[in-house]
Amino acid sequence: MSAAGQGHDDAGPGQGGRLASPASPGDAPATHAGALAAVEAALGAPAPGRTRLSSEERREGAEEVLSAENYYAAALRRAQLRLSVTVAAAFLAVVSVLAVAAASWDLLESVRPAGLPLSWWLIGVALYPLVIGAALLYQAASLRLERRYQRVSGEAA
Amino acid sequence: MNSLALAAAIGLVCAVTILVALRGGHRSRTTADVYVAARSVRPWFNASAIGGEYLSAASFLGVTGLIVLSGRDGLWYPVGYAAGFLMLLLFVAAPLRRSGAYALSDFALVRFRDERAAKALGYAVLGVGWLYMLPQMHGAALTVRTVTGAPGWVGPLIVTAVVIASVVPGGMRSITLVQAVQYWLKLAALAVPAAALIFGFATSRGPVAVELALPASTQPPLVTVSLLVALVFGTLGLPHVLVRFYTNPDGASARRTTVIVICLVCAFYLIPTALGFLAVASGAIGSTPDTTVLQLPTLLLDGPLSVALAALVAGGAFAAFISTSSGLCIALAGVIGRRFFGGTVDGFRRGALLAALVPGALALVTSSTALAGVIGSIFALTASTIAPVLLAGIWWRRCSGPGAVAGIVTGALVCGASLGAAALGVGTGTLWGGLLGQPALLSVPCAIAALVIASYRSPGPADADAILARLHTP
Repeated sequence: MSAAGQGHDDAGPGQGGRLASPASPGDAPATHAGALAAVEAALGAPAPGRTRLSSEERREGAEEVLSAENYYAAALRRAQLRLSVTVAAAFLAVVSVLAVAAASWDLLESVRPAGLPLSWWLIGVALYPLVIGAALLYQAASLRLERRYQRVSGEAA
Repeated sequence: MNSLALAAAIGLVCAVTILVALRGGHRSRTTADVYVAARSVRPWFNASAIGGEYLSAASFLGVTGLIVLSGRDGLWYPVGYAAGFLMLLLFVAAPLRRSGAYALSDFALVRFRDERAAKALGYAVLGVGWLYMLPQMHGAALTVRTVTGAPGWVGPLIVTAVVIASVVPGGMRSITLVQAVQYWLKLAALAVPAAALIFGFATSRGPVAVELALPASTQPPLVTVSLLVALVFGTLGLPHVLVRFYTNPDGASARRTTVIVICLVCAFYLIPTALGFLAVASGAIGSTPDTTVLQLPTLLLDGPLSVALAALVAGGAFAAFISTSSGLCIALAGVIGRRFFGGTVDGFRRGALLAALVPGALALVTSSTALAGVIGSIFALTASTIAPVLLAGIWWRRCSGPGAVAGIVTGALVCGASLGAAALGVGTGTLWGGLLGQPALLSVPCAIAALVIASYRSPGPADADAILARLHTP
């Protein structure tokens, strides 16, 4: 299939078959419990209680339970979200502290390298390397999460 | 002689744009070609193109203007513009590409299976896109008037004509090449004059006076944070930036593209910032803050060198208006073409015509104010309409179509009402007044609350897990 056609075709009802394939309905629950714990541990997520597993199964219907693949995907999604929120929160915290400090701390105004206040140099120049550093850090970490997902879900299937 | 050289530079940029577009688009035939360049654009190339269309009038002229006008407060704008791409990388880049959409309204259809959500998101894109094109037209009017003295309608007319000529025939395939070229053009058009001016200033004047008269920075920190929220989450929702992510081959390359964009954008913003520092340190301020960049060469130097540098800057500024406008035109044409004209190649072309003509006409009957300031309001609107829906759709399983509609409507109403109240002068000079004029900190939480409440009241599609799995697995 051409990449261009993917959007609408993949989203159709045909998808259920692909997702349910890795584990047959019969052995699914046992496989899930162990495999889910493994992928959650690998991705650094807290292991979910059994109650959660069974409630999700009930919601989705008894036979066509969420496939193993979907459980891994959910674990991966949570791990990615945690990573993204951590990086974003750290960055916004640094920026907010700088905004308050620049407005209230006289030192940043009175020290003037090359005639312009220190706060100007901090905001106008020093923040950009921070942005780039955060981006590189995140890219490496999220790729690592995806690799682990591929390894663990490949072993289980 | 002087204005002739500047007009020639602008003409050259327009001619090169159209030539490159025709060359890039000559084999653009299929739907996938015109909407998403057949999803085959490689990261470096795509990143240059994203940088090219993102660096608009507000970046090229507005950043320096704001530093001259309000000092430290103005410095936050480029930081917000650059950090917006960090948020885009963290929360949107890879999942959005994996959604397989052609346009934002397609994403709503894929994710929520809800026609009304797709319609609401489509209207939000149209509103934001047209509002965003207006300042580009005003920037063009300002530039043409400043450098040649021609009347104000000439600039918007030229930009509209060039956009139509380069977007309508070849669509995304042709414009990708144009915008990649224009990023490097803009960078050079600002970096070369900046280097020459700073070198000249540093060698001729000696040490700067210790007690410079600085522009007053009076913005309360809370308003600064509100501005940053608007810029950061506004960037994440900008239709003309998002539309480029559909052209990546896969999710990982979408992420790689974004990292390169962040480097390119950060590198670019150091230059208008440096020019702002130079303008403040030397006291060479243009006739209005926004024209400072255009006038700095002639204010600080003389002779043929100053004319050459001024021509370079004017050409670069025009590249900024054209590339941002054509990026927006592509994004809007995608939405109009797929929602109203059946999603065909012909539908795209009709959509592109409509997308370019409306703001061109609007620009003639409205007037310009400070470029980067207006852009700040549009970012706030984007941050409170498109961004929450996109984030919740990608990361929250429970988010539903009615929730998305509620979020968009609430965000638009609260943001519009705040800006309207601030324009009428409610609470001027107080912290409240400041927040009304920079409303992201009010409107974004309202939009999120409405989205969450409506999503809990009406469940989303039953296969939300499978859809999210597709967005997040490599």
